[in-house]
Amino acid sequence: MESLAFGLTYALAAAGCGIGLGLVGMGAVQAAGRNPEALGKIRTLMILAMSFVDALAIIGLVVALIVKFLK
Amino acid sequence: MIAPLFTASAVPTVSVAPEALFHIGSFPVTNSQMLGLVGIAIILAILFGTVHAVKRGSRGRFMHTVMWAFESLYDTTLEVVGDKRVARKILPLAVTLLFFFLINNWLGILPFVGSVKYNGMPLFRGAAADMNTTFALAIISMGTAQVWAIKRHGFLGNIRRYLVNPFKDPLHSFEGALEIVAEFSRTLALSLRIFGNVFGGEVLLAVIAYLSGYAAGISLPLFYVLELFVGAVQAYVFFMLTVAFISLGLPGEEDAHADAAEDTVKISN
Repeated sequence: MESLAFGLTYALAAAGCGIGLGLVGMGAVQAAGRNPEALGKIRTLMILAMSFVDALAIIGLVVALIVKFLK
Repeated sequence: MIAPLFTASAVPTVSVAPEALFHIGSFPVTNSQMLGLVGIAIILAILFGTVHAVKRGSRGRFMHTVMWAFESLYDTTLEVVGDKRVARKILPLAVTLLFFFLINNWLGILPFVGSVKYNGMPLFRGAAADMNTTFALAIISMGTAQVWAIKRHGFLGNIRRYLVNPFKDPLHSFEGALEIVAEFSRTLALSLRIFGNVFGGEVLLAVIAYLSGYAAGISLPLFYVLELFVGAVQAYVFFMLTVAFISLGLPGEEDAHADAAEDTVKISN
């Protein structure tokens, strides 16, 4: 049960963030397709937005680790 | 535990909290503070060296890189804040935070961190891999945002941003109550974001080294490059969010700059 909780804590966070990252990438690719000259700016914004989404999954991982190792 | 491909390195030990190396009085000196001090020494050496070189008039390639970083960060701040005078006042704090996190994130993944032991405990630990550091710095940046809002709106005016009379304006009163919660959740999210990334990165490197065993020479460099990138991006994100939170408390939200700052904040929450 405990290892299931450990796995799920990360898995649920990662599932949502996977969808989020897909949306960010989709938006960036569509924007680049519409306006290829602004590729540099779009890339910067995309990495910024991706790091925001990424952080949630990593916070999920850290919470899982804390629950597992800090008792 | 998972069976590794080839067994070479020891099973990674994960400790979420930093270990106290020794005590000065009742004040514990932890291993993340040690690396933080090393990082601060390096930053001071770089920045004072640059100032010295600029005053002397000799400009090497390294000095140009530091100056380019400062100028582009100033441009970014100006883009978000939209006021030259305010941008110049915000910049020192925001850039200090960026340099602190950048140097410490890069120091934190060097090989001697964690493997050099002192009394059975690692002598060094990434400064941002300690929740105390990141939470303290997040409180400083959110406190600065409040100071700026009080400077602009006055003390009562700042309170009026959060507490609105519900009989006069029910919608804005609800919004203000949400804003109070948002300030706390922003502080927590700001500190957890960088802590999670740096700490997660350390655990990731340890687990990859354990799983790949003798093949670690091939697999680890790739993850090191990833961690260098993540460290730089997270330092930039902390800088960007500090500037955006400060600019949220400043009036003049009708122009496009403040809107852009608000959008950045909405993504983060």
